[in-house]
Amino acid sequence: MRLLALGLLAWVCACSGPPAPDAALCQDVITRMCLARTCTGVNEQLVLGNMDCQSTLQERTGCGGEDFAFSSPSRERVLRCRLPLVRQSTDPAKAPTCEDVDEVLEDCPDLIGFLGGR
Amino acid sequence: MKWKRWMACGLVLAVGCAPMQTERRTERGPLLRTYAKEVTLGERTLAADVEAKWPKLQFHFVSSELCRSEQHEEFVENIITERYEPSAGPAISAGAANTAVGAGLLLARPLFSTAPDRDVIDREGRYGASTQRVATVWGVVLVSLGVPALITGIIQTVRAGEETETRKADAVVSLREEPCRPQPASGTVEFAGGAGTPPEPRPLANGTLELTTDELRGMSFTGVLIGGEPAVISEEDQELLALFRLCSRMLAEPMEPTALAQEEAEHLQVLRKRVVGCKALPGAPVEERVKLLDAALAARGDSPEPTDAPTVGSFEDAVAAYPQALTITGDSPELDKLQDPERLVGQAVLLRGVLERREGENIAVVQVGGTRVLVFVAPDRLWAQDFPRGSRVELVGVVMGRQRLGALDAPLVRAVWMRTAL
Repeated sequence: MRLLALGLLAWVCACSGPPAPDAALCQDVITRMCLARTCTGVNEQLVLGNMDCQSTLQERTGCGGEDFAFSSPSRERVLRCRLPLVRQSTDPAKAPTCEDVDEVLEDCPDLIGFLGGR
Repeated sequence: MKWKRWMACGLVLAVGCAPMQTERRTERGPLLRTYAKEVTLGERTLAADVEAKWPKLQFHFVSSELCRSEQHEEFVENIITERYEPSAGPAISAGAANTAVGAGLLLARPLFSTAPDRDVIDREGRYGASTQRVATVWGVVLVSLGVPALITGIIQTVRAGEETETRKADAVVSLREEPCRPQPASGTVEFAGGAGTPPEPRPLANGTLELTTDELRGMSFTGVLIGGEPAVISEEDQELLALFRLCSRMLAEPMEPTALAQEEAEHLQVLRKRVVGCKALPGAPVEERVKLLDAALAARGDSPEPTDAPTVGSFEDAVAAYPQALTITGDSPELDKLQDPERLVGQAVLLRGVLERREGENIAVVQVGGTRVLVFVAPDRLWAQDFPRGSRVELVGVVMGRQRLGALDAPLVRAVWMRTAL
């Protein structure tokens, strides 16, 4: 009976919808990076200055269009680099911690480069 | 369809072994019969009964087997097995609620949106599940949890109940070991336990040994044996033997009126009491001696205690055994009646006064108001302690008349019980 309950709980937790398109995934990463803009080094590495974060990064990456698809870095790489950003929560309104953002800045220079940073 | 069968099998396995608590108790039913059973233990006992037929004392020796007498009760015994499961009720409630909600969610699936939750992208890059899918999952989960619980609860409720098994039972309610199958003993009787050399052994005739008073006077023993085995003599029979021995000596001594006239009244009273005690032996010649002693006591102005006097063991017994015609205290109007004690002879009275002095061991002078009363106190009585002079006393006694003691001429009362008063 306990195994049955545990199995059902796992099934409930694993419940999810279809894969999100690359454009939506890209915009989700931009949103989370912009929420962490106040963290040390984010503004500098992404070379944002006083510009609007969301629109600037969308413009640089070109993922504002519906038919956007990842090439370099790949979708899998973006997903791996995104993991620290969703460690606290997958809620897009909740900012990641500065430690998690630092991890991304350090471990994913290809993603930073994709976002137009240095 | 195959997966449905597997699911059914899983459900059956999950609920088939639903645990049940079992309580077994035994209740005693109606009594069927009572019977006695005698079991021979294989041991033998030897007992001697003593019978006094003056001037002979007979010992009847009886050899018996030792038996155990068992009293049995046969009755109906009900073994009640009660099966119950306290969680059956909650399981049914929870199971029914879960099943109802789950089934409701599954039935209402078309009402929910099939669009995924685009506000959330999970760690694997997938959108959140649609509300229809969430409802389906929760519906299946609730039904999966609810149905087994419901079935388990129902099975436990159905299986709960009482089963009574009736059988016949037997119990020993009392057990007693006692001699059985008595038969007269045979052999030679040996004597033991007395002072000096034990008497010569004597042969038994039909299980009986007969000793005359003359023979018994010359013998000293406390126990008897046959073939080395001691015979059990009951306490009453031992007392009878001791009394017979005492009386065989006492009643053999000559009793002359002239000799008795020389004796102290106190000694005569003690002697009389002992002689009267021999009346317990059928045929013992005590009447003549009692008459001689009574005459001697009367000659000394002393009155013998009536032999039919009730035996008392306490002051309260005395009050109950001797209904008092008068209660005489220092300030009671009955005190005047003591001025003429001859009219009160034989009447029981309750006296309260102050012990003035003792005259010998058996006379006390008690001051009741302004009247002195002579109280005869038998020195061999349990209560006959040394009352302090000047102490307040109360007594139940019988008025004997008037008595002169030296210069004092006063009413005489024989005390039945006297004690210190508060």
